[in-house]
Amino acid sequence: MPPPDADAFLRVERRKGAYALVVLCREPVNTMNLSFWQQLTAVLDELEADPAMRGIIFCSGLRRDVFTAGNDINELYAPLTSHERYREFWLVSNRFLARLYTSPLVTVAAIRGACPAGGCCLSMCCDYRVMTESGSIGLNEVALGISVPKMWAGLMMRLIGTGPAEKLLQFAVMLQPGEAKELGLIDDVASKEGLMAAAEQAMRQMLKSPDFSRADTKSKLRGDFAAEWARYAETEVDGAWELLSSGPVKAQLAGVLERLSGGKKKGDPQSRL
Amino acid sequence: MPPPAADAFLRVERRKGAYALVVLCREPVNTMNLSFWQQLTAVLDELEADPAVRGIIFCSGLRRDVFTAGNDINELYAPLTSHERYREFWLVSNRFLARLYTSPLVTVAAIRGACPAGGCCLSMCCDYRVMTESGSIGLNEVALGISVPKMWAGLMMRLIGTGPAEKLLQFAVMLQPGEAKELGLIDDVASKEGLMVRLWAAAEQAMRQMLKSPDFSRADTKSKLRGDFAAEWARYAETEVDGAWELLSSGPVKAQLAGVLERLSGGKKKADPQSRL
Repeated sequence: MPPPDADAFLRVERRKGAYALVVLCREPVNTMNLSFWQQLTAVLDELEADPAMRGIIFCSGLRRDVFTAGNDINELYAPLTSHERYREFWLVSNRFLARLYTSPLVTVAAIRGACPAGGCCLSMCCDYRVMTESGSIGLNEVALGISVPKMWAGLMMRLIGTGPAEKLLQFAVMLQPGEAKELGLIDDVASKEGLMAAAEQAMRQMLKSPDFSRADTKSKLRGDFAAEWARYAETEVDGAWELLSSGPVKAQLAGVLERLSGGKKKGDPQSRL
Repeated sequence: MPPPAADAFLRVERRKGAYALVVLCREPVNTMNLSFWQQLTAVLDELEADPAVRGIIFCSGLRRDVFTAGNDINELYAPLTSHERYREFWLVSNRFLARLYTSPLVTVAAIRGACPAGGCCLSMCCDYRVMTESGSIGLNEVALGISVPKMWAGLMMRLIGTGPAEKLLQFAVMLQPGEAKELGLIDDVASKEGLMVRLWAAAEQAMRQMLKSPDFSRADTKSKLRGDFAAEWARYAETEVDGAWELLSSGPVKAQLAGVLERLSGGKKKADPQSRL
């Protein structure tokens, strides 16, 4: 029997005005595992191929105020995965991100709540970011005991400047929405009730530009970096696996897993994804 | 007889909390000659190798309010040095700076007073910069008749953006602490009240905050952020050194530096080739 629709982590809602909402809805906190990134890729394929589609707004459909909690630690904790699976996970996710960064579609991230790590990266790949007043955003990998991926750091540096980015990244700083807007990491802050309206207004504004010249310009601006990103993912994946397999990192991630499960899950290799 | 301990230009003071102060104390103004950079290198070696040390705060131990006055002009004024010595001076200093920039240790510059040129560069290699209210900072080489080294300029561009950096560098601008903080060249200004105490408190607080991050992921991330630039810096130092010597040996630059030397010595020292370092 094929997997039930309960395994669908995303929902697509088409809107009048030639854009779609991509609603991230993997309860409880949208942790992004291999399947999640594969579904994102499939949705991007589908929407980019649809001539009626000119834009995507990514948003969270969770009960909690969380955009996504980032990459699923089960994919990073060596005893619970494998070199091959990690390799696939890393390549699929980074290829998606690099593609999203140069997508001919106009892309918006409507961020309700917490937006650390992988979710922050996804949102930085978009053309526009609006957040709720209560929330936080940043690449906080260092606090989890892992490194910020080089190209993710590079993306933040492009967005807000190398000086500011270096401090945030080395010290795992999570920004409040107001601070994030000041630094240019996000574009706007909205109330919880007004978030989607703000996102859709920004989308309509950006859709006023003719697609062909806008998309070509986006490709000129971002194409080199995106190409380097996809290439570098291949280069870095084996070294990253070595680090993930090292004592200190495993210990740190085991601790994270325990905390996340409220102490119940002890990083048990028998519990699979 | 080996040189006496009076030739020590730096002092290391270990602190509780796994960091050390590196106190620059070459009276009167911490001018950085070959020996100074060699001592900095040795101290960095020592502290990076010490598992009990996770961070360094650089500060001045001078009587005057000067962090450092920058590179010792005696190392740049051709009649008082040589191609070989200049080469060694240039490579040692730039290799130190590139290493400091990617050091796995958390690094802070606590800047009391004037911070031009080489001192500005050293401080930019750190993770965090805090200054006293009275002070100035910038790469002002152009005013001295020499060029801003390419990678030093690159470092400032990374820190504050290419646009702002270009203006400062071409026109030898020295910034007041408030301006420097606004541009992002420094991170904090310590108030004047209880001047020294405030500066220390700010620097040590920043250090403790930064030490909350786990070392291995923070240091690996730092290396990812800065490694390529630092590697290019060290490589480029080799490439540029001979051309730099040619420039330093040219008439206009020698004349300019002779003038600087005279002014610095209050007119007493006439850039006499017989007075060696």
